[in-house]
Amino acid sequence: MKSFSDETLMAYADGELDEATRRAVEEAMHKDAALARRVARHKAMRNDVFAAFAPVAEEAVPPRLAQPLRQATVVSLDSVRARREAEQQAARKASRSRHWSWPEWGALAAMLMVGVMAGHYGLGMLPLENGETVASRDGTLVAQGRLATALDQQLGGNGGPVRIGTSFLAQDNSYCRSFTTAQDMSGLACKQGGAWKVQLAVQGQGQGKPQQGEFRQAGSEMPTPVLDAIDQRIAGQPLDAKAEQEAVQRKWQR
Amino acid sequence: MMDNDNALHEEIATLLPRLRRFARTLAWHREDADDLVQLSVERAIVHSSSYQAGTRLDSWLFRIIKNAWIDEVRSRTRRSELFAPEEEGEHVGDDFAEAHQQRMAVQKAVSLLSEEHRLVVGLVLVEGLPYKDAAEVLDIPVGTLTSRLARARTALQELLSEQARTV
Repeated sequence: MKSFSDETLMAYADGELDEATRRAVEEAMHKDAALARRVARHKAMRNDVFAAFAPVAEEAVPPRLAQPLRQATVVSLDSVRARREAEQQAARKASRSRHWSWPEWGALAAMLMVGVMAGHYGLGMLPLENGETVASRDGTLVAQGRLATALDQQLGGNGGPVRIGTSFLAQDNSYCRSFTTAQDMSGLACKQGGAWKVQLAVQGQGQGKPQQGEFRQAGSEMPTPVLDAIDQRIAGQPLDAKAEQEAVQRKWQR
Repeated sequence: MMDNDNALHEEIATLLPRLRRFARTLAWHREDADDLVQLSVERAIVHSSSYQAGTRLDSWLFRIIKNAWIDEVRSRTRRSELFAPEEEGEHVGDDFAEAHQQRMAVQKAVSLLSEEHRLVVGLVLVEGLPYKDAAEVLDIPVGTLTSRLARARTALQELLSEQARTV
């Protein structure tokens, strides 16, 4: 009778053998009870080891492990639909089901909440923080106060209570600028109909202090949803310093 | 590009239970294993561009965990507490207690294996990777993996028999 090495029997137990060898082992097992027992021991070992660690995968994952993977919390967005449609489009593109993680559902819920509040109260004001406010006009969020001033006048990368990140021309031919406020609120606003309409604002990535000048364009400290929003809208390249200055002088009108 | 990153982060998040399980085969202590996963996830985010779409994401992460373990975490684990007190469960019922004790015995035996052996056991027996994929994670030929796995099983069997004798 053909004999088999222990490695071959183990590989059989692990389902790793090619068809021909697998058949040969099975035939031998029928005739040789000792060999069949050796195979059974390999299988039992595999089952036991798997079972010993299986409960770990059932444990709740500590939040600190998921935290670095978590999306920023989107606290306001003028167009929930736009993002949802973008998500759906991306999902269709990927042509496979997309499982949303809880943080994302949370972000969407927060976004909806602010959207509903803004819509419901019509002309309510949403204070971002002292002196920087966003007001709702016809369901659209519009920058006011210090934020509006910074968007109008400030050049990208300069410090101050509000920092301006990337400025660019959007596909709809309006100017848009990303911003970060003193309390780590980041967002994107576009100049439409004479006002800075806030496309979205995101609270707290906790990514630390502004990096002076270093990341003038699309700074790496900008939260992912804001970068996504830029990607979705931008036509061509971000404005360079000169183009930005000219746009300030033209009051961001095309 | 950002969308890809988001999708990748989501996929990593869904793999966290398995990453923790694999880490537990390397580090006996729950906190050490979770430290290992946390460090590895952070590394994965930083090096996400080195992940090739279409390849096994779990393999890529297991490799990161393995490297993080060898580079950093291993030396700082709680060796003095290697054998944590037997935990919960005894009062729930005899069958449950027996199964629990059996699991603890196997976990303990795995923790006493050499590091090489723990890695192959974790990848193949616990995480169910095919030999070929496990060999890739470890950068070794499949033949080497096969013989290493066979030796690991023998060692594990000996440890379990010893335990059975001493109990």
